[in-house]
Amino acid sequence: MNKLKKINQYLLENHPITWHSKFLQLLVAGIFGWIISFISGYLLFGLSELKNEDIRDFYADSNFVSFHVIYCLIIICIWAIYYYKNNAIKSFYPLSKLYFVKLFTQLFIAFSFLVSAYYPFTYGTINRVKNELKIDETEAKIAKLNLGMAFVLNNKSMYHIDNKKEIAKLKLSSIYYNDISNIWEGENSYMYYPHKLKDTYSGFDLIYGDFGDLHDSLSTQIDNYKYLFFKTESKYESKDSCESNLFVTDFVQLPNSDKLHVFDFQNLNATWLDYQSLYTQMSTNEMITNKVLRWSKNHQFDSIQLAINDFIDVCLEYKIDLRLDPRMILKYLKLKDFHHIESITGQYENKYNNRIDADDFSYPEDYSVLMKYSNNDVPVSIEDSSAFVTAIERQDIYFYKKDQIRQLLDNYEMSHFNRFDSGFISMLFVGFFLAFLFVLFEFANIVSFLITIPIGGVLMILVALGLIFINLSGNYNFENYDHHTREKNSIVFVFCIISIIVVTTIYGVLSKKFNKKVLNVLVNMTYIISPFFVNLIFGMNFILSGHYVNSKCGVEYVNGYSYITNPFWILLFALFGLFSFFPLIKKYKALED
Amino acid sequence: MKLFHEKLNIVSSHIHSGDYHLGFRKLVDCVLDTQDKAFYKLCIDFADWNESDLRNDAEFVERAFDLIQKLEKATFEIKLDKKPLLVAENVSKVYGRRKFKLGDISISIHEGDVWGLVGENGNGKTTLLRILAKDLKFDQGNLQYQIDENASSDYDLRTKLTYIPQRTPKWYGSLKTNLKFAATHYGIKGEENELIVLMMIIRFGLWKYRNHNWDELSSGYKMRFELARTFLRSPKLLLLDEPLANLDVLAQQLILEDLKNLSQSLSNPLGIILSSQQLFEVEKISDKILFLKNGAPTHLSNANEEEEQLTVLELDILDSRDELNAALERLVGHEIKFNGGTYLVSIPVKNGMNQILQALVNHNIQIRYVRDISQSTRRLFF
Repeated sequence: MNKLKKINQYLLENHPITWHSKFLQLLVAGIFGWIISFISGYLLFGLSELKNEDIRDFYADSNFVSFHVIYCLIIICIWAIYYYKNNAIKSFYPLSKLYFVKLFTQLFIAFSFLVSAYYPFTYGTINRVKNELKIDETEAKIAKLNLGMAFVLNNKSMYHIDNKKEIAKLKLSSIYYNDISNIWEGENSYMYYPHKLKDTYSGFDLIYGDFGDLHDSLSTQIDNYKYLFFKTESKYESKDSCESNLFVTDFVQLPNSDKLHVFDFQNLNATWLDYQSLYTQMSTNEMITNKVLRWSKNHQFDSIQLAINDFIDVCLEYKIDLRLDPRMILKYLKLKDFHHIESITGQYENKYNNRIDADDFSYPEDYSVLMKYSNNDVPVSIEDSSAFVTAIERQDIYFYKKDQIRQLLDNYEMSHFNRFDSGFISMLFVGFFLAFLFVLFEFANIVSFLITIPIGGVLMILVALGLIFINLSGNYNFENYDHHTREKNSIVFVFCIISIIVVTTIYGVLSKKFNKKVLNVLVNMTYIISPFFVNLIFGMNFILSGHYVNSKCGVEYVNGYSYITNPFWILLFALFGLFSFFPLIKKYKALED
Repeated sequence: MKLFHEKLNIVSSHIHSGDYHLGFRKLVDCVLDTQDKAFYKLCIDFADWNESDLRNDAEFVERAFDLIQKLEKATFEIKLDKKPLLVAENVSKVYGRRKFKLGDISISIHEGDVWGLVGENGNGKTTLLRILAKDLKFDQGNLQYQIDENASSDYDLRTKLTYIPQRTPKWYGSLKTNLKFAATHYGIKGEENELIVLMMIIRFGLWKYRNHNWDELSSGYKMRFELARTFLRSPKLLLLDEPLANLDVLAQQLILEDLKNLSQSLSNPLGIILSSQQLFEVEKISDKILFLKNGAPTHLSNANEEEEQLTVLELDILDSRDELNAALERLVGHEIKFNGGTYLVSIPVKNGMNQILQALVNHNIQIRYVRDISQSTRRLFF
């Protein structure tokens, strides 16, 4: 306690801004909040959450968020009591150089810490998941799940667990035309290897370029391996060209043998969503089904049963809700193996372009299916088999909660393979806002601020009316509607209004000619505007530089300047705008009533 | 250092006479004059003991003289030249619904000057002080400050212009913390901060209250706190609006005496302008008086040059006005005014108080109260 008092005394005697901002105390409260959050995240995320909660959302879903909000409110209230006890500027004490910059920076850092408990909390859950799902063990379980899933899934979106291994991305060297910056840019998409399958996919980084017409072939042979390409990007052929080609950006290696192996399914699975966009004549579902049936045909039922049993064991270990009977599933597979589909009639016949969907026959109410048995090993009637298959496929009695498995594995991936995007910068904006607010009341009179609110509101209404006038005036019809010109006019109008406020304020403070009450309102408004001002100038540049140009590719609308969308730069410019305002405060405070 | 030694002799004289409180306060002033940390430490130890239960008069005297002996060897720069601080030329302001006009005010304040600002309520005293403190705009005239050569902005100037309003704003936290916070901003850091703050606490008799907060202090101690805070700022010009309001008689005397002494500090003399309704007390310490009536100024120095041939008495009697008229009938040129409470009696004679009293005694007039206000602004209130 004595030590704390000594620190406090030291700060009071030597660093009045830090003492006044209570930076250290806030920081300690923030760090304490981080520690509590981390521990809470670790402890609250149990087995039940593992399969039901996304680690990114768990903070919001758990009660911890309420605790954190209350914690922040209490800390900020207590802090504010001490913060407002002393005020150097209102007492006209001499202020050190960059007083407000220092004060704001300290508050900004401390508040950012305080409000960002989401991150330690989530990292706590990540660490818990890492402990619960160790890589080696989990990879083995995932392999079992992948393998077993091929046999227990039975609907159109079957085999829907995302690949547990990130498919390596091609390193592509290509150029494309940037519409915004109006320049040709190069792009490299670097692949990274999955943790466990590095060896399997080695050598991929040597592959570059366009791999041909994807519509014509499903796979390409390279170095004795078959590759299936999917996920393309449209890119210009060269900087002088208006023609674009499809470039392959992602691919998978196809299995070379019929040996039952988990990679077969993993690779196929990864193609699922993007694959269809390539207009191939076969769906992933069909490919998997065919593969399953091929194994069935080869009478590998023992290994299939083993795979299903393993699948169920893993599910039970993580308490995934399921009701599966391996014997029934095997019976189903055997039955399907001997179905031979001869013809399809009904409205869907042509729509699928002669494509046969192996699952569709189970819905006789949609169209009629004629079947005959080619093998008498399964002595069931057509009606019985149809009803049986239908029951299985509709999952009335056989089911497992795929979402739970997906969630479990998503959490595993996010924890171990850094897929968790913290987005920490968004919390900096919250910290910025709080620091911004409390620095405002460091120099602003609360009454004048309250007066500013309605005046600002009226001004906003007037600006809105002005915008409506700009956008609806003239010959308004959709055919002649010049979107860009009206947008330009609107932005310029808003910018002018804001500039008038800012310039008037600066003039009023420097010239000392304004009534103090009017100036109070102007200063408050300018303070609120200041973080946006630099960004507005960039926005103005972007808008004003926009124009139509005749190019080889036709008439194009181009902008000479980039619009700032990166949050880091937005924040930096907001700081710059605010810091530019701070020198005004001393001059403003010194003005007579 | 002759002036300093004279101050020390006065301190010794007070202590010899048994005026320990007064002697101690003046001793602290001498220590503050030295601006020497070593003497501050000695003084703080002394004050700590002086406020403790161990205090006794014999030891007090011994310790005090021990400190005086040490102070006699002190050397520091004495500021003898009284630099001008503020020159106001025909400053005026019109304000309010009734277009009240303050001014034209022309004054010149130097280091060490104490100006008393008197006048009835609503005559522009606070307005004038706020104008001088650069808190309020004026319409016409010219104000020149020569307070801080390094002041690069109005804000810097205002850090040196200390204005204490009649109603001092509430502050939060302990008294000592607030003083330290002020001192730190004025560049007094580290050990020096602690020493100077404690010296101010001692000087303004706040030792026992140093850890108290605003709510725990009486009005008098709140004013003392404001003064302590103000003096930490090493002010050049101090503007006080009714500092004696809400103070008891003893506290008023103490504060006025302190202000006078501090204004004439040997190392850091300052100019003071204070407004007050306590005419006689203010006149006692002021070098010059500015009387405001309906916003218009009347300058009076303590030497009443314009009307020095006049004797004016403020009088309260048990008898009627007729009897008073009869009693003063033989005094040539006498004038009597009555405001409902007291009489104002004047005769065109210098130092004629005895003549008036003699006439009243001869007529057996029962006197309840009498005061010679020939040289006081009190007579301007009639």
